[in-house]
Amino acid sequence: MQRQGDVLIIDVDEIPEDAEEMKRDDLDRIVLADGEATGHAHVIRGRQVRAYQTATAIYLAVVQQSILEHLTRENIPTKEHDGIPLTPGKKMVVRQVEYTPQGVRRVED
Amino acid sequence: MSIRHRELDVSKIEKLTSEQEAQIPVYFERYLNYGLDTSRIDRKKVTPMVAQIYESAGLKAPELILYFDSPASCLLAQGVLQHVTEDKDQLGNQLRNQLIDQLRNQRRNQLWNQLWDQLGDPLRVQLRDQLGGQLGNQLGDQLRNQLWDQLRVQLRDQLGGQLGNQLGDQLRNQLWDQLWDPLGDQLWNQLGDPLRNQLIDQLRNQLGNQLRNQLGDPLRNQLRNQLRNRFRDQLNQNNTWGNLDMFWLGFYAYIHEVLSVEGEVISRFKIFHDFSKEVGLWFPYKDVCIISQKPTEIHMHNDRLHHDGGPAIKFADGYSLWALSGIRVSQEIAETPADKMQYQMIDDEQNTEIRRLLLAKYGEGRYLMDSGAQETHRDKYGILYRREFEDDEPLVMVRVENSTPEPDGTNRPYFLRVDPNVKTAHEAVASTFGLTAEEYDPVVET
Repeated sequence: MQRQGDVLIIDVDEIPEDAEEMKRDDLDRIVLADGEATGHAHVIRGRQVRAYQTATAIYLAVVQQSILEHLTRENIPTKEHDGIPLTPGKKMVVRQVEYTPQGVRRVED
Repeated sequence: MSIRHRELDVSKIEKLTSEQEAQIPVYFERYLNYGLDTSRIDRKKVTPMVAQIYESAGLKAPELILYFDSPASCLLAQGVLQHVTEDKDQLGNQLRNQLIDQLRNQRRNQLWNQLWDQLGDPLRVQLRDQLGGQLGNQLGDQLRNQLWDQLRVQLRDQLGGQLGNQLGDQLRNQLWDQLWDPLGDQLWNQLGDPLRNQLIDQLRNQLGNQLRNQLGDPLRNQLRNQLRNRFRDQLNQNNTWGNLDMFWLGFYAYIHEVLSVEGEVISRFKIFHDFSKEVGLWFPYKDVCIISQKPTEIHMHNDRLHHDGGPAIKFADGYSLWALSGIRVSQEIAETPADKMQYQMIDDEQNTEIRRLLLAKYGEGRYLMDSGAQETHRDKYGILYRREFEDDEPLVMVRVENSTPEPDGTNRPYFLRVDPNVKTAHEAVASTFGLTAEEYDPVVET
């Protein structure tokens, strides 16, 4: 289990069958979460990772060790979160949520 | 063949001499200052450089060069120009004529003034009289095809290939760490990125209002919706950022000037470099080049974009951006004095980054005291606070710290609201990821 800010990476055994492969963004990155106020994103640039999405979570199939980075659109590392290594295997990406009396909502940064 | 062969055999530079090493901070300072420059553009100097830039990339020089006081005005002018000259189906002839009349009649307005004055008589007359005709189609094409790819992306790729490849991996990484990233952190992360994001977010609102005042409702609504999508498309691309591009131009300037690394691309690099230094964000199109002035004010504190009490970036036409500690905030948050703030402002803020800034401005201790929060638990994961209300469920928040320290060595605290039934800080943090305390135990945190 690894954490980069509001993103938690958990090792899992399987990726759900109904998960659909995610598209890379226009800068050829897998974007796990995009900061609304900062424009900074949790991204994977390496091509040795495939990302899949269900209605509730993102899953990663990491083929070779890759790095989860926190970058701007110019791909410059932010000072907020250091990169973390992703070891080969299947992972689930959990976004942080915040409690409200009306139900949980995703944390925005 | 022999030349190519020799080029391939050139041995790579692996290490810096102490003199070369000493130049790194000099270049850092110099290029940072280029990027933070707030002087007006010297048009006499810059206008001929535009032709040079286009020609250096094998393109025909643009016929029209337009200058505006802010990137926002540039985008609005671009959008208006494009919409008066194309999209015939969407913008009927009558509406188009109305818009042009209004453009012409509202010369007291600075933006229209700037646009109108720069178009020159032939274009003005054509715009007015021949809308939808030949010119319309031409200008439409010109404004659709952005040339940033040919001007900037290609150049950057070639520099990487021709110059970057002459350095050993270790040295390239060293320079990357000591020049590109730190300059980029200041010029791009602190200035370019927030500016880009704000332009996308706010143009539609601010300029929508501007349009409302200047144009009738039907026109405004049509234009507004069409412009919104266009702004986003435009700014999502790698624009040409003028002096904010100095972070990567400085990196290659160092390699060329200090390490004496040569390449065919150098002459083109110099033209682009010298021009970028002089201007703000610019929009190159086939026959039109739209150039923004640099800001008139930039406020930084501890290497972060920051101004408590006023705009952090301000342009001559009033277009502004507010930021605290590198995070873009509303004018209200930046300009409300701390002693005038109510702690409910913090409770009501949904964005955790902005809530953190409000808390820092208000004062954490003052917030906890004013709001009547009680500490109920504390462990290595955080501190749990609870506030009781007479007529509502308790507010329970966990105070956590960001694991990556700030430049000053401190860790930023955040407050996250959690289910009032949680008993420990560990359980609280776990619950924000939908886990139980037993399940939540990250081995790496950044």
